[in-house]
Order: sequence, then C-alpha cells, then structure tokens
Amino acid sequence: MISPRWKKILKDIVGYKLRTLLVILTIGVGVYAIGIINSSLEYIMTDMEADYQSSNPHDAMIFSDPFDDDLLFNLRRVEGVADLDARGGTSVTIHLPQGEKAQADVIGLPALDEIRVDLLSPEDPEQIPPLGKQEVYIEFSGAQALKIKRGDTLDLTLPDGYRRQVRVAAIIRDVNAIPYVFGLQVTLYANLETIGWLGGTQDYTRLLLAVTGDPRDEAHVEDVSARLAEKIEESGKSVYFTRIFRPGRHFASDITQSLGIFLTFLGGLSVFLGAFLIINSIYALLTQQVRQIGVMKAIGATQGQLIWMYVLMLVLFGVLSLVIAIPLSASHGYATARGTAEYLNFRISEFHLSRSTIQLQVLVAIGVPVLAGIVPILRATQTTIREALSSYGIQAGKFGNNVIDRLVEMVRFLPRPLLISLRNTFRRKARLVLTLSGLTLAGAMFLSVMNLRGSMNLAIDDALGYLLSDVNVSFAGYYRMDELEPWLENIPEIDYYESWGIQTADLLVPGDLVSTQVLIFAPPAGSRMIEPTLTSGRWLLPGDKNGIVIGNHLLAARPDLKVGDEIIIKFSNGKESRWRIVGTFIMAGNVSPPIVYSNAEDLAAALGQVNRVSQLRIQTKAHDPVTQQRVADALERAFEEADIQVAQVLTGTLVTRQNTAQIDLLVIFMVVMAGLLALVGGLGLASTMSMNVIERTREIGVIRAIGAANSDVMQLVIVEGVLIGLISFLLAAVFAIPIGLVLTNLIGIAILQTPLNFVVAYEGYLIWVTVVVVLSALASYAPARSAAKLTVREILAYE
Amino acid sequence: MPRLFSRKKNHHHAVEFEAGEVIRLVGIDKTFRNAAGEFPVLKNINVRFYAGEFIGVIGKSGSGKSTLINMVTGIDRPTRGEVYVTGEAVHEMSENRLARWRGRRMGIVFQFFQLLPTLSLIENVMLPMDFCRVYPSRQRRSKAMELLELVEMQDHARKLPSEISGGQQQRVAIARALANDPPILLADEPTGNLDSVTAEVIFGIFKKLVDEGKTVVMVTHDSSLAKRVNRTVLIADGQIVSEFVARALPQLTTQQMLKITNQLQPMRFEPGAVILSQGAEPDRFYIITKGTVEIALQRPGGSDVVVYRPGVGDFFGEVELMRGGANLATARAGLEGPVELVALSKAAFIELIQESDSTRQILDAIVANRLEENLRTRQENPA
Repeated sequence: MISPRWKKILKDIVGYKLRTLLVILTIGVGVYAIGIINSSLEYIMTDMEADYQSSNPHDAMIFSDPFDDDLLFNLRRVEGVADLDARGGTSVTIHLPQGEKAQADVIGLPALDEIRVDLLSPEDPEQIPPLGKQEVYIEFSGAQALKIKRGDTLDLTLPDGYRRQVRVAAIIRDVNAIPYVFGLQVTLYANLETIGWLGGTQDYTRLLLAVTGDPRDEAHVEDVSARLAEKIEESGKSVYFTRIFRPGRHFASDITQSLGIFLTFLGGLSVFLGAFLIINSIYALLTQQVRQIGVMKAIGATQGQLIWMYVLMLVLFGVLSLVIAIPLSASHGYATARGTAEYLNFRISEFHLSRSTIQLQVLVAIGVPVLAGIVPILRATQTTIREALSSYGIQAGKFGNNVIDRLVEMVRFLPRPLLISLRNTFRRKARLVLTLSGLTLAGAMFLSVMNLRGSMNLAIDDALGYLLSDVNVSFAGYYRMDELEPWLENIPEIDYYESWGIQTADLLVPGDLVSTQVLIFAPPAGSRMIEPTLTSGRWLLPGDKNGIVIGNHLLAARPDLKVGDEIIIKFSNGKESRWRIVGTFIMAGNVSPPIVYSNAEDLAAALGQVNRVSQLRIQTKAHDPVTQQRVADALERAFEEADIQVAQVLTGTLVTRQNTAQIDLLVIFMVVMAGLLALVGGLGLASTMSMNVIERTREIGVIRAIGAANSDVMQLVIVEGVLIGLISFLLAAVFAIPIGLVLTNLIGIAILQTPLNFVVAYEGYLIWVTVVVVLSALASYAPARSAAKLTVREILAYE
Repeated sequence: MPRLFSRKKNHHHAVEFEAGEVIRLVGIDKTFRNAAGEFPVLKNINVRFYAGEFIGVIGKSGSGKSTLINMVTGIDRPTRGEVYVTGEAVHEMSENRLARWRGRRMGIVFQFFQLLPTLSLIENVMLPMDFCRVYPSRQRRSKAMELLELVEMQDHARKLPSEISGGQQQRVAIARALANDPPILLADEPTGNLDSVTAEVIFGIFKKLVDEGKTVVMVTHDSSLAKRVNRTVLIADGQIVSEFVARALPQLTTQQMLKITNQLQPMRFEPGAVILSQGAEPDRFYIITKGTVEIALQRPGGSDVVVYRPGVGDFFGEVELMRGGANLATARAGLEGPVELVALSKAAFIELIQESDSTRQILDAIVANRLEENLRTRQENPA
C-alpha cells in the first residue's frame, strides 16, 4: 500500500489535470525537440554515410576520349587505384505526357555484374533486371518527381533532334546521382549499345576512380587521378577534365552537417528555454502548495521529507512527459529523416528506437526539471509555517519599491483597469523575468530564423546577379552568330541577347605540377547579363587582353592567387594560353568546378572559334516564368527547324529553383523549430498567468465586490498577458540581431561558402508581433476565464 | 535576580519543571518588522501551563493570541525569551528537529481545518504518522480509524474533505492532531469558523480529551466557551493580563486590568510572616497568587482572632485604602506554606477607583460587607 504522503503527490498530479498537462507539455516540448532532432540526425548521418559507402563511391571522375575495356583493364593496375570503373553517356530531352520536358543525363553502364564503383541498388525489393536494347533504368528521385513508373515508355529527343522511344526496365537507387530537385535533371541508365542508338558513342567516355587509402585526402585523390590521366594520354587519348568534388563524402554532407549544427543549437536552446519555463511552472505549482506545505510541517514533516515528495513529483512529471514525447519524437524524427533522405537521395534504414536518443531524453526529462526545480523546492519548503499559513493575502508581490515600479507608476493617463494590468505586470519581477526570457528567446530565435532566411535570399539574389538572363540556350556545338540571328529576330518576345562562351579548362600557375579545373564563362565585353559582386580589382573591360576574374570558390582551393598574377589556362584540345587576373568576385553557393570569367572574344580566340557561339543568353520583354517558358519553347522549335543542335534550354526560373532548393530544406526546418519555440513560450506565459491569477484570487474578489463585471476581470488578466507578450517582442527584436549575426555567419559559410550579409526581414517582425499578441491573449484566456468564474463569496472565503 | 536558565549554543538542554508543569514561557518578546517599522506583538510574556489544564487564551483580534500559541508550537520564534515544553527548549531547536518534535509532542488544530484536499479523511489522519513514524506502518490505518471513531467520523473515512461539512472537517482535524498521541493540543480559534451548535460539539471533544489527561490550549473569541475552560489567559496589547486581577476585579475593562497588571509588584512571605499590621498606615492593595492569608483582629490582650482566610485569587487591603485611616486588621501568611502576592500601590489603587465608577461602587459594596463582617466577628469574639 502506498503511504499517504506519496499518495498525496500522485493525487496532486492526477487531481489538477490542467496544471499537470501544462507542466508535462512544458517539459515534453523540450524533450520532443531533443528527440526529434537527435533521432533524425542519427538516421541522416549514419544512413547517409552507410548508403554512400555501400555503393563503393567514386572519388574522382575522369572525362576523356572514348576508350574500351582493354585500356580500363590496364588502368586498373595503376598505383593507388582500389577500383576503377568506366561509363559512357549522352544527354537527351524527355517529353512528358502533359507536354512538359525534362533534361536527362543518360549513363552508359557496363554489364550489371561488372559494375565495381557507384553500385546501383533496386528500388523494388527484387533484383535489377538486366538492361535490354532500347531499355533504360531511371533514377529514383527523377522517377518520383516526374511520376515515371517501371514499364513506362519514354519519348526522347536526341541532341541531333532525332526522336527515340525507350522502355523503363526498373527504377533504381543511385546514391551518387545528384537528386532531381538539385539539378532538375533526370538520370537514366542504359547499356552502351542503347547509348549508341541514342546518339552517343558506344565506348566509355569517363572513368570512375575509387582510391586506396583515405579518399578524403584530396591531394592523394588528385595524385592518383593525375597518374591515370598520364596513362590515358600515353595511350594516345586526350583527357578532357578530372572532376574531384569532396571525395569520400556524400555530396550533401555539408548541408546535413550544418543542419546538424543548427538543429543541435536549436535543440539545446529549447531545452534551455524549457528549463526557464519549468522553473516557472514549478514556482506556480509550489505557490499553490505553500499552504499545504505549512500544514504538513505543522503536523511533523521535516524539510527533507517535503523535498523528496516534490522531487518525486517532478520525476513523475518527467516520466509522463517521456511517455508522450518518446513515441511522438521517434516517429516524427523518422519521418523527418525519411523526408530528408528522399530529398537528398539516400536510402534510410527501417524504423528503430535510438538508444542514445532515449537516454538523452530521459536525462533531459528527469534531470532538467529536478535541476530547475531544486531551488524553488528548497525555497518553498523553507517557508516557515507562519508565512505559509498566511501567504494568501492581498500583499502577494510587492509593487512600488523600486525604480521600475516608480517609472511604471508615472504612467497615469490610462483608464484605471488598464493601469492595474500594467502595474500587475511588474509585481512579480522574478517571474516576469522568467516568462519574458522564455518568450523573448522564442521570439529572438524566430526573428533570427526569418532574418537568416532573408539573408540567404539576398545571397541568392546576389548569386542571381550572375544569371540575369531569362533563357539560356546551350548548343551541342559551335555555331556562327549570323546563322542564329534570323531565328532570334523572329521571336518578338525576345528583348535582347548575348552570345557567351563556356568552356572547362585546367588552370595552373607557371611552375605548378597540379592544375585546378575551372569553368570559364565568357560574356561579351560590356555584357548586360551579369552584375558581379567584386571583392578586389575590377571587372573585365572591353580592351582587356586575356584578362580573367576569379571567384571565391577558386580562391578557397588556391588562396595564393591574387589580382595581377599571371596564370596558364590549358584547354581540353591541348592549347595553352597565358592570362592575367584583373579582379576577384564573390558568389554564394556550391560551385564546382570553380567559375572564372573572361571576355568572350579572348576565349573564342584561345579556342580558335572566333565568331562562333556555344551559348546564347536571352532577356525576354517580360520576366515571368510563363513568358520564359514560351520563349524557350519557341527557340527550341525554331532551332529544330533550322537543324541547329541544342544541348539544353534552361529558363531563369529553373536556374533560380536549382539555386534555392538546398536552402528551402533548411528554412523549413528552421521555421518548424521556431514554431516549437513559440509553443514553449506560449506555455510558459499560460502558466505564469494562471499563477498570477491564483495568487491574486483575493484581490480579484475585492475588485469584483466593488463592481467589476466578468468582462472587466477577464480584460484585466488578458491585458496583462498581452503586455508581457509585447515587452517580449521588443526584447526579442533587440536580441535577434546578435543571434542573427552569429547564425548568418555560421550557416552562410557552411552552406553557401560565404558569410552572408545580414538582412532584417520585416515580415518576420510583423508575423511575430501578431503571433505573440494572439499567443499571449490565448495563454491568458483560460486563467482569465477561471478568474471571472469565481464568485465574491468564494474568493473572500478563500483563506 | 539570578538567571534561572542558562543558554548554551547547540545544546538543547532540559529544565527542571515543577510537578505537572508542561509549558513554560519566560520573558518572551516578539517584534514584527516591516517597511513601516517595528511592531511589538508580545511583550515580556511569562506564563506556565500544567498537565490536564484546559486553557482558553482570549483577547481581542490583533492582541497577540495566535502569536503566543505560535511561540509554544515553534511555528514562530521569539525575538527574545525562552520557551520550554515538557522540559525541552523549543526556542533552541532547529527547524527540522522542531518539525519532528512538533509532530510527536503536539497536536495542532487550525481555524480553517487545513485538511489536505487531495487526501481522504483517513489518509489525512495517517499523514502525521507517516512523517513521524511513531507507529509501524501496519498499525497506522487501524490507529487512524480509532481516532476517527473518537471524533465519530469513522463512517466517512474514505471521503475527501470537500465532501463533508466544516464541523466534520474540524473533527477530522482534531483526529489528525491526535495522530501521534501528543500530550498537548493547541487549537487556534478551532470554532471560529463554525456555527454555535457545531462549536459546542468540538468543545465537547476537547473537554473529553482534557478529562483523559491531555493538556489543551485553545485560542478563542467565543466568550461563552472561554468561561467554561478551567483557566483563561487574557491577552491585551501583547501582554498577559494577570489572571488574578481578572478574577478579582472582573468589572474592569481589559485596558484597566492590563494597566494594573503592569503596576503589580510580586511579593513573597514565609509562613506566619506579617504582611500588614493593624494600626499601621495602609499603603497597598493585595491579590493572593499562592497560599492562604490570615486576616486577624487584635484583641486588647495582645492575642488576636483570625476573621477570615482568603485564598488564591482573593484580595485584601482595599477597605482602608477606600475609607482612609489606619489598617483595621493584621494580615499574615498562613502557616501551611509560603504565600505569594501581587500588590498594587496606594496611588495606583486610588487612580483606578477614580477612573472606574463601577469598580468604586462594587468595591464600596465589598468594603461595606467586610466591615459588617469585621464587626460581627468582633462581637462574636469579644476580648
């Protein structure tokens, strides 16, 4: 049988359902946040790495002249090669049933059992069927986005304009493929025979290298790649370029890592915030218990016995919050991880409970309330019996004896009931501080998140300054401008166009042994399609002879480069030329290979393609997505008619979407977390307001006795709540600035490779002030209602 | 005056109590402080309570009754002075020791019952047993049931406090106060929140407990109840009005009683010692606090005749002070034991009767009565 004192604690928990719920929720929200963050991160980090490693991923990709199995066999013996595989490839446009089009990269595979690197796995439980002629596999994320199923027939346009139809033999998972949302490009897989039929070469064109030793050692990967390239060249074939992008790591590891940092920060913050609120709730609870504590002391309870009773109560609250928070956070954490996995294109393991997450949750659910509660419990149980038995009076919470009170007292022009609310707000200062810290932190986080989002948008806008065209047309080869011009003049919606050169090349400084691959964009001198953000030197001028402007991404790899340096650019056709750096720019986002800019005329001269065009950048008269798409379609039709081979047509809207896709994920996460914080803040306010009402029961009775109606009493309480909310908003607005500065720096560098410019997002402030007012009103509504329900007789008899 | 009790730090020493003495307050001062200043609530309180007494502490609200009770229970601590209960120095105990001690040695009954709302009645009664572990846990329920039977609440044992009336709650509160079988019960206005019929029942329970040997100290407003206890302690302005003054001169206002109390001078006489002599100039008014006094008239031959033997609570010396002239008789301590008196000076006495007409009238009547008795005695015992 349970002894009466433990029974009392149980009955207090069960008997005061609303209060119990409030306390459990307060603890539970933090425990839930910690749980969802920890479990989802655990899935994401371990499963992403596991799925990535299980595919035996490539560390480098070498593009070259077509080659066959003999060369591949020889190259496998090069020192440092753990595994070497080869792929062919071509690109096509898929025509979807609704008339939409999608670009697709078709990868030419060797026989399935010969694949050693970048292993594929079936989406369906069964094995992958072997590829027949005119059959393709489609990569999972693309299939999902475009709603393509196994057995579907795809309508393709080849680079040379021919139409072909292929059957989808399977949907497969390829952890090394860039997911559709990031590149807006589908990945298809076919055998080499089909690649030939689709207009490509039937030989291999790229090597996939997995190195021995540490794949994250970029210099080592570069060394092995260089040895392979040398061997290939020795065999009489040209190497076009080598792509090494963060070897040994999943392409999204940066994103998940910064997401991890950010979420862990938010999780910690919500626990910290929760602790404030728990202190508050415990004070509320103990305020109600003071009299009973006095009675128990009077009948023989020692302080130690009382402390244990209330500590047990807190432990029980923690256990109850765990009962709610563990299943919820585990399932939501799994859902979050699954969503993220789908987004980032890796396979996630089956649902399971994470032991470390549960341990952490138990620690937080039990430890934080006990730690937060120990001071209030000590104080409450130290109250003498006399104080305890006389503590309900009109004098609870002193007002009028400090500077703040006197300042508040100077406000006299308001109606008297409002004055009571205003002065009541400042009566319990410690409690006010606790409530305010909760709400303020929540608000500051929300505002910082909104500011961060604004800063990211600004960074993206800046990045879009490099992409000012509405439609980009890339040709499969070089065309003379006079060949293209008549077709362009025929489309009335085109306002302006420029011809750009685009070329990948190797960059090295005289004396270098290893080159760095770069992508050269060559706008015409005086281009209207680019508004760069310069960090030193100047932009290209029409008269520059072999001038070049380099960006932050190249500087990250080659910090030694500076304005005035002379460099050598080696093109894939073997030509070399000397260039001088005239300026540096900064561009947000992951860019690989690094981009450099030169004048179109200089690039054309270096390549021997003077007056020939490989890309057109077009500005339309209207810049909306519909116009852009219409012009893009018109251009495609026109060039098809003219037998001009187009590799790709992209609208500005699509390019922007490609750029914002990564950030959207982060922003969604952040807004959800800010919402959780707001919830915690609201709970805190609700418990503060009910505490205030309980303490002032007698006072409310007096106010009622002198003629206050229900609405007056409710207004009194609600106005106080809203006042607290508004004060917290003002404080949050101030604190959001330093928090925002830290966040924009951390996240900017992690995701966009550049510290972000801090932006104040006004809409965030508007949203938060609305939220906080509504939340405060709602949080104080329940206490206000219960205050209004009390009758004068009840209250004044309440001794 | 030699110090009766020596105080040492961290040493809870016991004192020698008189036979039957259970509570002793020595020189208690209690001052409350707040922003507006200091408020003395108790001033130099000296009082002793004895086993089996039913004591009513009475006084106006704010007079310090509850504070006095709080000194005894240790709920509050004196600013100065000493509190001994059953020989133990309460004022020296730590809060924790006090809590445990209080749970075992004292039962407290509050005006507003103060039952814990979430516990059933029997659980409320068991709670002090739970805290103080006087009985093994197996016995607690049956002990609690016995106590509920004592207050005739056994049929409601499983109910919650909110399900029963105020009077019933107070009965349960008494049962709870008796949980650890304490020798002393303290009740602060136990009937203050009850109707007169219910109050009568509660009073009856206390009476029964006193008959069984418990000591009950009850603060009350109810003058009809106050008259029925066997000892009253009247408090005014934080001071105890001499119970002898209250008993001897009940016609006085409380303020007058208090004034006199403060002017009283304690005196002690060995058996047979003369307190005042016939023929001498009268200088005091006496009230007897212990022992018996003999009032004797001298016969011409030098022998005397005892005219009457006033005891505790009786007074003498007023006749001459009111009529003027020399002492009419001799007063001396009885031979059974020493006599203790409190005496009021002539000036203070005269001031008193000038202030109070009713006192003067009553004293006049008493004087007339006594003179008549003197005369009769003389006639019956001629020299």
